[in-house]
Amino acid sequence: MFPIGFALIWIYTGHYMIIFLANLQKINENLIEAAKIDGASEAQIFFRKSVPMLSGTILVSTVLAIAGSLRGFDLIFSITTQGLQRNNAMVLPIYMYQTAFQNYTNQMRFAYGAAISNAIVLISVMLILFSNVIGKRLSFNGDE
Amino acid sequence: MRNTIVFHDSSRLKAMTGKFISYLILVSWALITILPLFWMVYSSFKSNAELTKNIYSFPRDFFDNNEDKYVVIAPQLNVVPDYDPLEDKRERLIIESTTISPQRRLMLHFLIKEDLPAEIAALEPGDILEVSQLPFAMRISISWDTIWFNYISAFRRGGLVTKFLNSVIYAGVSTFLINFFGLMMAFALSKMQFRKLSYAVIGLVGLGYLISINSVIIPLFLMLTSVHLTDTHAGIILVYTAFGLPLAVMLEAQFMRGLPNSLIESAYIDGASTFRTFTSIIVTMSVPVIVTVSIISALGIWNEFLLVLVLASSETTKSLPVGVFSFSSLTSSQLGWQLAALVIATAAAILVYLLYQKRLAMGVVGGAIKG
Repeated sequence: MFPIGFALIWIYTGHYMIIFLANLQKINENLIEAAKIDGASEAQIFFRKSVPMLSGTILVSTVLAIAGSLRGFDLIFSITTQGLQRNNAMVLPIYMYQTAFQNYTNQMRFAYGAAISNAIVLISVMLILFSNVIGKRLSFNGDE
Repeated sequence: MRNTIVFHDSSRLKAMTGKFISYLILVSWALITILPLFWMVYSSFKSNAELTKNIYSFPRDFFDNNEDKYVVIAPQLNVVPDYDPLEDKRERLIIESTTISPQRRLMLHFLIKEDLPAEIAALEPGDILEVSQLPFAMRISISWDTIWFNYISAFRRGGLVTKFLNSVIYAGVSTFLINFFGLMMAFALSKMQFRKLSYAVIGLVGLGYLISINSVIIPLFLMLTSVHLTDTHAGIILVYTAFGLPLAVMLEAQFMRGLPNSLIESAYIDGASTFRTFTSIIVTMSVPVIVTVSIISALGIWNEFLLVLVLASSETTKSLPVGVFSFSSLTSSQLGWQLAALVIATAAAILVYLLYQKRLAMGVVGGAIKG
């Protein structure tokens, strides 16, 4: 579990860092300069200016990361070997793969597998909708 | 914002410590990112014994090979010659390493007897010889083979050449098709005069972007089975093209909307047909976005795993990631080979990344996010 989590963090940090970097570059320099003139320290600028302005990005990235880990298959599949080890680190896509393509005795295996992948899509869509709702609230607060 | 009083001396000290701490964090993070890759590359030159003894030590066995002992063996069924015995009838001395996987007929050399000194050519099976006794040319070739042992074995045993070619074919052909159709669609959606239809099509394309290969893998598999396209290059390329198109269309349409309409109008006044306008004005002007789309889709296809795992059942259609995966489950005892295969699989992606770093970042920002 934890080694896999660490590997996933290692893989995706750079990816999200690029997204944050691009959005940070979009922030108006004047705002930060104004804060500096008002005597704010770096930490204050970071927590009171940059983070609130990035709130939308942070939210989107969070949702993307959760949705991505719902779909994450290859790393866990190739790290774990068949059997107990894989069952301990089971995620939905692997469960789907095992049901549909490795359980040959089951007549309904493709139907079950399709049901599982539908569930994955449903959960992802719900997460995206949820993030949209929260995103609207946050941006409303930001406008005040 | 609250006002804080700034003292000049302490603020300089503060800035120094702040810089120090931020550099410390950034450098350590860079090390965390790079060290695993570095470890993988140097470990791929280590022998199995070294890898099991201490996984962090630097490779020594393969490089320090001048005093390696070899044993002369008789021709047997499990000794696979690296030359064609029907064509080449010269007599050879077969030697096997006593240090690198001994007794397993993995590290073999076939020395032509004519080139050997008389006393070595006369050796009988069971005799021991040292690399330093051999003529210079052979010593060089043997030491070269010893250093690259893991890579040579990975290529030979894992059939990595075909898998590498397959990966190149999948990534190349699909990327070409994605760009070809994507550009046409983007042109029609952004610059031609059917507004309502464009909205409907863009909506459909956006819907297609939400659906990943992973979530429709079972219907895909069943459909491709019924048209006999599983385990063929064409089937896999078609699926990759279909799933790569939405992103390409979105990025390219967005880019083309930024191109001025007057360009198209002036081309029209000069008497260019629509197709001519498309090929010589639109396509040449959207080269930057084409490069971005190509890199993103090629890298995505290069690393894609599940589709090929499900669709490709024979060795001739497997791509590199799946090839490495099945190779590693076949040769679980040969860690060095697996590492070599992984280095080969990673090298191409890293090369593309280093060449097109900026474009890749642009693509990620432009909405090319696939978790």
